[in-house]
Amino acid sequence: MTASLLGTQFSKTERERKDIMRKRSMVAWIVVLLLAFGAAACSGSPAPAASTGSSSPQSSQKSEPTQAAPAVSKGALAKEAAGKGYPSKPIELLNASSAGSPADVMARELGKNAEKFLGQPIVVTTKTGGSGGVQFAAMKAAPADGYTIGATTAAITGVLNTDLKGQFSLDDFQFIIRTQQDPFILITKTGRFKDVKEMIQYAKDNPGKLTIGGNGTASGQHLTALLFAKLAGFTFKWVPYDGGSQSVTAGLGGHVDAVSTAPASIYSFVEAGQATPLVHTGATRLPALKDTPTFKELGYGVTLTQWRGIFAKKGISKEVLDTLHTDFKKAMDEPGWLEYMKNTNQMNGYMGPEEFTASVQKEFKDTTELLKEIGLTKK
Amino acid sequence: MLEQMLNGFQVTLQWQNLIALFLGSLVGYAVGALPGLNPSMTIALMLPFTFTLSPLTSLIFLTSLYGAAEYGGGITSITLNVPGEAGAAPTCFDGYPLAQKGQPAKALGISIIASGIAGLVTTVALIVVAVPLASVALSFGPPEYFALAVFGLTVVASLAGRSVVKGLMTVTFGLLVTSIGIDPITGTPRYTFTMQFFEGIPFIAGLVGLFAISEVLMTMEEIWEKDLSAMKVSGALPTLKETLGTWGAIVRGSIIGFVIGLFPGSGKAVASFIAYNEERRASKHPELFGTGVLEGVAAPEAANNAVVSGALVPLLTLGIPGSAATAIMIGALTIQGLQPGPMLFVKQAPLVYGLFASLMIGNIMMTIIGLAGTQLWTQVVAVPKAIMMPIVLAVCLLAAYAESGEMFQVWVAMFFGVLGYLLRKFGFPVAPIVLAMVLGPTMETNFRRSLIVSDEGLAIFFSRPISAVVLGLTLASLAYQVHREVKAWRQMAARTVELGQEVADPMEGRL
Repeated sequence: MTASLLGTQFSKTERERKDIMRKRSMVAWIVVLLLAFGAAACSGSPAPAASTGSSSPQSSQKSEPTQAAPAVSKGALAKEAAGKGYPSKPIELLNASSAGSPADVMARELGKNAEKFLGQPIVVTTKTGGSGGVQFAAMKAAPADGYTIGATTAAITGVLNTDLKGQFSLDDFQFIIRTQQDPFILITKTGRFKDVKEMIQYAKDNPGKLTIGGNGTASGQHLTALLFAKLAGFTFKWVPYDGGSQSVTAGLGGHVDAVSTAPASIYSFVEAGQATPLVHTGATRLPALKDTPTFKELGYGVTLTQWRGIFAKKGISKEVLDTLHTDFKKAMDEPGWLEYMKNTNQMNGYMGPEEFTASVQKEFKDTTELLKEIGLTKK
Repeated sequence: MLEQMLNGFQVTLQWQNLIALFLGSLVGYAVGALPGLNPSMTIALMLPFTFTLSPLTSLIFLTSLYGAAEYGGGITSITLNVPGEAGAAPTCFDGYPLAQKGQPAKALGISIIASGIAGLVTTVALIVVAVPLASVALSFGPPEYFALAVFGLTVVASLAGRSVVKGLMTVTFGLLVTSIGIDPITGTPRYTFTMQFFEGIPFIAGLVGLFAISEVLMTMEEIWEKDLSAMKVSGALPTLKETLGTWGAIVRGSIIGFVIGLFPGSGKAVASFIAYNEERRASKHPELFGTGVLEGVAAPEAANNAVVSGALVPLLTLGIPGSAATAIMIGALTIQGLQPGPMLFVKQAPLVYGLFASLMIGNIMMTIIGLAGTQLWTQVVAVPKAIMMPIVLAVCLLAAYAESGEMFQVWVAMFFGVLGYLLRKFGFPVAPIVLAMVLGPTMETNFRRSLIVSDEGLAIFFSRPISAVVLGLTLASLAYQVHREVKAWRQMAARTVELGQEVADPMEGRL
């Protein structure tokens, strides 16, 4: 149809036809260039349609219609007082572990429950790889306006001591709220080791043979294994995976002897008899795993935890920090959040910005020492 | 099981589930057809809307979206040479030439029929073998994934076109490209001159650059030389005879896709590449592949839909995601308060069987939507090139941009576009680069993990039965390829002697 329409115009000589063709394609090319520049111009706002702040997704409207209304006026005032109108567009939450992992689920749950307080949706984006460096890079590259935040875990203190030392530091980030704390747990494929004593004995009898898998290098999972080996006096080989679920799969398949991971990711396998929990780092026994001893009981006086929380790039304004902290804190009292915490057997680990920052800093220093002893630090 | 299946159908046929099924298929179809919007991104975006739905309804919505998106990805491969996602790249090889011959509807028709049949057949396979095959996914460790990736690389023989050497050169270049980024094992930055390279070279940008932007540049050149304004396009769908002629391709593609889908770490895109390769090898006329044969469209399209069912085996039986999209679905289940894992079949049987039923109905629905859309997409091919090509370029750049919201990726796409253009001008195939970008990361991390785990060094790859068999197959496949090359060369040489003509060395550029 289109072809015949053009065909009538191109009925003159060959030369004329070519000329017209050229002009037409020139016009088209100009359009393309304009589009490209247009894309560049709006690169600051990923979702312009949503930036009016008129409403949050249906879920929040349904439950609390009054909350959505103030967001409109808030958005309008945004230009007058910087930070006051925050948030006027969706907030992107970057996550360094793979989708479906405990940190990912935490981020999504927190986002979902905080939406009605913030008046804006929270979009979780997965930025895996490089032991978390990819996420740090993306966060640093974004402006410190509170529209790009991240999920952070205990892993941060490890990687900043090793792989990413010198490239990023704790001072690059503002810690906003700590939401959970989980012990780390060592599991094995059922039948591989009866209990943790058997594993230690195996490792001692076969130096350097035991393989332990887990998320990333110098991650909380890795540090737990290192610390355990140091205290119990055995050696092992660390096998890093991209995210917790991958490492658990490898463990269930017997491709690594043990897996250092979060309890939340293994309950269903323990229940099905496929995995055997060996030991965990919590202070007391876990309600769902009453038979699994803690580090402390074995005589190792440490309680490591895998905490999770939210952080942002350093330099976000006081208003943005307060808004995020207050609204996330409110979200942690929501029935939806509490139900999720119960479903996944997680422990509340709330800490506000100051306490959270101080705790991360202390852990960072402890980790530096641990890694120095083992010789894993860089430079 | 039959009774549970019937219950499943009963549940699925409730109105809200049928609506979820229809909307999921429609959204997936649209998303698949838009390069840059991939299934996992869309599932993540749609997730908040599913929270308010019942677990089954939301699961039906997400899986039908996932399945339809796998099909939709092939549409732009055929019409524009722009693969909607990595798994649809092999559909370009024969789909686009066929469309350019004025037969887009045949290519589109075969692609939807192959997708639909593969989806339906592998759903049945899923229902029957999911439980017995549950532990198969666990049998693959680092050496096996490495072996599978190496086997995948032999596909290069099919993609190399006339010159195997040039194919090897580009596949190696592709592997080098994947070494850019933060080291997956130690976290050390490699060739990362800028922060944006931390995640490696963005895949979508590379893909649209190499395939589509290079095509735009090639066509731009042709527009100057010859008249491309009007193209006769036929809206004829494949005939029954033509459709039946591809049954072998559909069966082989389905099997390959389903099996590869079972292994969570293999990367589903490789399934369609392998299916294309195997089809070419099984064919009586391999030399016609790449010129627009229907089997070349049917095999990869069947494979990338079969992967969906395959990936659901570890997902439903073990709670292990086989792809980015299924990983997000696990998140969805968890948020709904369901514990994905080995107990799902026991505790949530109605949900699981409801999902099975919806997959069967969904595949039929997707086929109908797909066939209905064929005539619309056919018109895209009829648009004069001088008008279409700039639009294609805009779509490509937008796709590159949409993935990250960064202009940087647009420049990467441009770079790969120009690179692809130059390579094609000098007779280098670009598809091996994409193949390498799909397989490189899997190959590298699993090679290194294997060596960490291994007590015997490299011998681990041969002491483990599955990896030894897969590597053996790789060698056999290579040997066969060489044998075939030599035979073809001999025939050509014989013909040359017969005719007594002075012909350039037929081996030139071949080996």
